[in-house]
Amino acid sequence: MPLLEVTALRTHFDTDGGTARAVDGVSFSVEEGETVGIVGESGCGKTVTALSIMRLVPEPPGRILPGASIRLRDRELLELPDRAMREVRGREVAMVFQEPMTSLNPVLTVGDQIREALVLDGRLDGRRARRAAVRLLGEVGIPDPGTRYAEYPHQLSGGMRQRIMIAIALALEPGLLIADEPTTALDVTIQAQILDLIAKLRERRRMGVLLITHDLGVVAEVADRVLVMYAGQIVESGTVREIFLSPRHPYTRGLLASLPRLSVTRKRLSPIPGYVPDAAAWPDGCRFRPRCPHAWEKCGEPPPASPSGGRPGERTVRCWLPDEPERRGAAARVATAAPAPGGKPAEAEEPPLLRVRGLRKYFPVRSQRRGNRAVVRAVDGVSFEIRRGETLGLVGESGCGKSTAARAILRLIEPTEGAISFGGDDVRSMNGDALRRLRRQAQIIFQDPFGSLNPRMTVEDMLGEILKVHGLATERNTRRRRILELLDIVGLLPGHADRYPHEFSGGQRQRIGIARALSVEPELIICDEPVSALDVSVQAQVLNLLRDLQGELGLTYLFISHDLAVIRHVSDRVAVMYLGRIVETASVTRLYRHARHPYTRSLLSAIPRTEPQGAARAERILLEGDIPSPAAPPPGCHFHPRCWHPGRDQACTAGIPPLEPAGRRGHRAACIKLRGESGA
Amino acid sequence: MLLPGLPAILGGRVAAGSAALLLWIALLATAFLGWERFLRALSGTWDERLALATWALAILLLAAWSRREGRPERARRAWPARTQWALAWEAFRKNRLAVAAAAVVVLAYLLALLTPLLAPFDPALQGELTTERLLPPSSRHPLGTDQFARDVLSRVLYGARISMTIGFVAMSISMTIGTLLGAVSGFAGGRVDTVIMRVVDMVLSFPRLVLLIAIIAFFEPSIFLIVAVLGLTQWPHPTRLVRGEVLSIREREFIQAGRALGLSGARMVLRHVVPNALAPVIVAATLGIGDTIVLEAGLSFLGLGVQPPTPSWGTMVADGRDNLFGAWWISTFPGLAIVLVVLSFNIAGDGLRDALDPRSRR
Repeated sequence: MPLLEVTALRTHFDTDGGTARAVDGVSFSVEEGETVGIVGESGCGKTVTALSIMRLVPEPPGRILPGASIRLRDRELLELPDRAMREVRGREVAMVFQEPMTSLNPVLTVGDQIREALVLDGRLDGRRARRAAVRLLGEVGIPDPGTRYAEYPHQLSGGMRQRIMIAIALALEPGLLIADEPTTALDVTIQAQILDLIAKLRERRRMGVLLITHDLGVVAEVADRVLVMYAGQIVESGTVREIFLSPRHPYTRGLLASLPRLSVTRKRLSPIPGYVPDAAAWPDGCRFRPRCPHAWEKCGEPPPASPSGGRPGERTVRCWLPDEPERRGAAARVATAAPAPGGKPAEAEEPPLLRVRGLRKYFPVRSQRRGNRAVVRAVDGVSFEIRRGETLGLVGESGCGKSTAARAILRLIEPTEGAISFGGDDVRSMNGDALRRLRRQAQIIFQDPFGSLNPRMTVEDMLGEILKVHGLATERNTRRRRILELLDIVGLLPGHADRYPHEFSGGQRQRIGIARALSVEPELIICDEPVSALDVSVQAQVLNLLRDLQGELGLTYLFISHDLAVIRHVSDRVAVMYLGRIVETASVTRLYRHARHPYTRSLLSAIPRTEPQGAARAERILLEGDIPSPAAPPPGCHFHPRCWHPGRDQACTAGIPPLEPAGRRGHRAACIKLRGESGA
Repeated sequence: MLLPGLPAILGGRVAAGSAALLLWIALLATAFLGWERFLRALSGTWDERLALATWALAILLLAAWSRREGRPERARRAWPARTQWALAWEAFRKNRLAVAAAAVVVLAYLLALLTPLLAPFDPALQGELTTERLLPPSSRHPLGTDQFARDVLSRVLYGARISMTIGFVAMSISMTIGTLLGAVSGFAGGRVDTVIMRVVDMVLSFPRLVLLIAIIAFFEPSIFLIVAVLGLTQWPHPTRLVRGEVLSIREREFIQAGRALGLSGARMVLRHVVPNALAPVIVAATLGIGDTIVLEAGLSFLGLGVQPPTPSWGTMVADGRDNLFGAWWISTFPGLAIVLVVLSFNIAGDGLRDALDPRSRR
């Protein structure tokens, strides 16, 4: 008997815009000790599926339609009275949420929050519950659990808080753990720790795990079986190997093709066209039809999941295609797009377009005790240069100072120290007119497609204002023509000009942001995490657009991201940042094949691969501990407390390691222990 | 077309339609029954002419609205783009209570403006003191008469002009000062911010009523003085509100994008910051008018506000308190007017807050 069996689950929401069929006929099962991953883009019904199992869907507006069944072992959850359901939550099914910052109560110590769960259960009295809580803290890998017990959530890092959440979820030894995007808010090195922890606990406790994520890499890494959701339905299910090595549904294939891979450099991605439709307006017939490259007449009828529901070991696909194999070949030829021309980096003789030397940005902070002024060294001596037409990828985990560096270069915030020269001009001494000229030549695209557009202005007003201010198109008609031209360049329609930002999807907003940056015809564009808020299929569309624009307009990019696969995909050269400093820089191929710095190497090994088990995996380096606060960085090499290098010693704390040559073709790394080793 | 509201009623929107229809009939009836006053008003004082203009405008607006309602669905939905304001309006319309409250507010202001054409008597006119004192409501005096044999209905109507004008003007003054100072304080930051906020703290730490009593005790009370005093003591609240709003908008990425695109500071404030900070100001202003009306009534009740014989709701309540048991109508009707108008302002303000705040939407 499976641990959890969901049959024909339909959860609908009554909204102003009609009935949103968020989950619409989902069946699957989870066995004991098995990890089942649910993947899909946002708005596909993954989270609602999880909430339905917990019976936490708010009613109204939500409702689970009759005919559905959710069986946990031998009990039907949908028929349980509310009291009995409360007993099930926590004891038999526990849930871990995405946001570790907001899921913990800020006024209780973390230990008390775990103990509360144990005491409420009634099995343990206060003192024994406390001991059990400390033991749990130890089990989820919190160092020094006795002390940590008495700390408050804000004193812990994001990764630690997620561990606490897991400890609370595990407190009553549930048989099933539902993890909803448990690592999305975390950095890769921390994500690797948490995934590792979940896998170990599952093994030790023979738990079933339902892992919900948009990240295909995470699923490939830890799941046994995978359910691919699209538009409220499971479109394909199978084992990890089946899904990733021989995907059958066009959506699954599209998702995989959209994904920038670590093993491939600078190849044009093949994104799925369009966007996930609104849940109140799923298309008739096959719901993927409007975005499907293979769609033909038959797709007007809804395809059944064939063969029947997702029993363990069974492979299901909700598509007509497997019935007509001859169509597959034809369409496959369409899918392989011609490789686009990559940006050609100029020869080294030409002076660089942007040269940054010893850039520093310190933020003053009020220290809690005494009056002495502490500083956060957000950027602490960063130097690099970018040649015309080249893309420099700046990669690092959150809080390493990459965005601060970008803003300091454009003087959106004043740098504390350092020299910046753009096209030979000194940026730091610019004023008034010179600064305005710089703003025409160097632009920035932001991460948040929701916050970076003024909600009260139409697209035309927004772009028109810039053209007017810079005197680029003073006449009304020329301005309008130029705006339409810009929209066309970024793949939007003329009709979009009169709309307001809230009427667009995330990907479209990002295109507007790109159009805005292009409106002044800049030479350099700083892309600050331009795709990290987007779903993979849309991410691929935007990445392709940025590539095409670089080819057509000869743009130079400084591309900032925490995602190593994206960086590999877009960059010519890469610089890796850690706590305000660049620790390694090299050409993209060298960095990904012959990384030297211990941090870079652990970073690379921490990324979940989408080539499951099959692909040979180099040694996996699991970093311990958290990223230190930039307000109190460790002395000497910032990385040394977490470093795994066998030669690590007292010398590492002595001084800041300089960025020294570490291989051919400008490969440099900041680690004194590499001096003796030969550059591969 | 001839009967505004009828198409709306037929189209299923009964409440809005019948309200429009009733208003139309009422407006026409005033003109029909009081055509002599209308003729006299043509060459009368400025507030009589203002009342005439208001009357004509109301008729025109109703007719225009009716024309729009009468046209087929397609033509009417020719909204060029669904702006945030249009969305807010849609959300506001769903809140029946708030719409009704807003209608009451509009009606109250309409009545106040039309008073010279409507009021049956001069508010200061004293009737025969022996026979017409303290008359209960009757057909000649629908709300009765007071101890000086003045018509209470006329005084309530004229009182509405005073009370609501004071509320509106005082609030406009404090909102203008508050928005300006708040925007400057939030956007400039640093020393400017510190100075402005400390002044705000100082003004806030003064007991307001004592300040008002002191000022009014020193100077001859007049409507102008009351408006000035009320307006000039209320600005710290909107200042704090706008400053907070601006501080959060300033950190948004579109402001950074604007700076990266080389837009000037003044343009950023006027085009990007202020429009985004406007919504809470509108809400605060709506709620604030109600507060100010209550405050003015309180001052007048204490004899510190509008001086007799000028009617204001507060003074009228005070006038009637000696005869509360013998002649309840003198205090009760102005009191009800205060309650109704202030309640409407507050309900409409709450509705506006829900509609304008995207966080509370859906």
